[in-house]
Amino acid sequence: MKKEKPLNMKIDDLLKQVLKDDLPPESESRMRRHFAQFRKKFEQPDQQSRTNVRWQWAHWVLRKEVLALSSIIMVVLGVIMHMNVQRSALAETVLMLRTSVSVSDQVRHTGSMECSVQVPTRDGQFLAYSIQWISPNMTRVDVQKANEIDKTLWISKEDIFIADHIKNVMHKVKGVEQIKDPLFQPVMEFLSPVELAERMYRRWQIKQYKPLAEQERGSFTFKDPNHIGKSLLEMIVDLNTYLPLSIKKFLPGPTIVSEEETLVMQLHFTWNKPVSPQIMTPKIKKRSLDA
Amino acid sequence: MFDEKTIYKQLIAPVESQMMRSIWRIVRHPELAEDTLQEALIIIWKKRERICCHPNPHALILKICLNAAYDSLRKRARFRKQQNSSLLHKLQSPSETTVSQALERKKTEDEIFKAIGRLPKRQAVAILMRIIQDQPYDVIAQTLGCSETTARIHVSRGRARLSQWLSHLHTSPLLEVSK
Repeated sequence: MKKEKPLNMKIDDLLKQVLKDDLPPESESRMRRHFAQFRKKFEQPDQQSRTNVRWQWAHWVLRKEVLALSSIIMVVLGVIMHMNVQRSALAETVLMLRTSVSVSDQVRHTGSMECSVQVPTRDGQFLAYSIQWISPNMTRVDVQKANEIDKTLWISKEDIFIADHIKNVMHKVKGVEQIKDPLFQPVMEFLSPVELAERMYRRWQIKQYKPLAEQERGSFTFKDPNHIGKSLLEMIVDLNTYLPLSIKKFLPGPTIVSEEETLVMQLHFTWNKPVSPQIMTPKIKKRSLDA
Repeated sequence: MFDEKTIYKQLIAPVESQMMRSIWRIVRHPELAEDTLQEALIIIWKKRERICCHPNPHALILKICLNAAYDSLRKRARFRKQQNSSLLHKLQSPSETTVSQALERKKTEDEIFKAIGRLPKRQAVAILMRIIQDQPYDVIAQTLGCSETTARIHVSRGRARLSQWLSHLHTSPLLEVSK
């Protein structure tokens, strides 16, 4: 070892004097107690290891790789569940109710409605109706036979008129309840979007809902418990707009509704198409004179 | 080697006394010394595996103590007032007969501690290892994780700085009194 320089010796002496080894006995005993406490931790390895195992387990669970793997598993399970055709009854009910509410809500907020109705008659012909409705609550219903309008019903806030184009007469009716003409009765529940929404919401009971994924459409089956014979209704809705495209009304059958059931009415809807308000003005079409 | 009981028995127990004394010689305040020891023990516990693998684990443990003591030294200003109160006891020691001598001695000590605290950490630790623990340069180098030359440079630069800052104390009554 090299000899230290005299100047270094001086500073070393100075430091050694100031940093002298004079640990008081009280401090020494207190510091020894700290060592004893520290040593105890080593002497209780079981407890320590148990704690360590618990924390190591928690640490392992929270590792990024484990979290990433569990996320992937959850995504895969989600996809499998989504693709599974047999979905849970609860999920289907929720979907059915959510779609129903969406349709009812959209129908209430439309600006215009055009509906062509076909009702088969006993002689194998069709009775055709054309319902036109524009906001705020103006309705026109034309009853057609053999491509000729026989009767027209106008409903507005102020008045209700019925025109018989064959007899060339028009009369005023006080209220919707006073419309007793049996010719208009089949379409009374489709006179306005609000009426349709109310039926969906309050009167008809949802039996079934099937999404028709390939056409972005859905199919509702309703039961009308108040109707004579408790008719069934099949409504096809556009899942882009949540507006009805068509309704078919059937007499109840022993099985699920199908084309083979007795069709009593068929409706096709066009929504939010511009309709001239002029057609809402009651006017007799002088068919007999023209003829 | 990593059995915890063995770690304590073989590594810490043999240097318990040196650990306490190293800390005390720098901190020189009972409560602060206890706190410093606690901190040093926590660091030793955290680094126990590294200590086990070290070629000179005892030196490393003592170096950890010096590190902790150096950190405490920098915080020591807070305790200076309390230390002044204990000065009255020192007055009664047979070697210091007058108040002025005691105050002079206290002032000198404060200046030296302040100077050590002003040194960069590695220089301070290197010089303390050399002076307090009488460690050879190769051990200082091992514990600081540097070459022996670098360790020598740390010690030499530390000394040079302290000599410069404390040049006026070379003829201090502290030295004379103790002689």
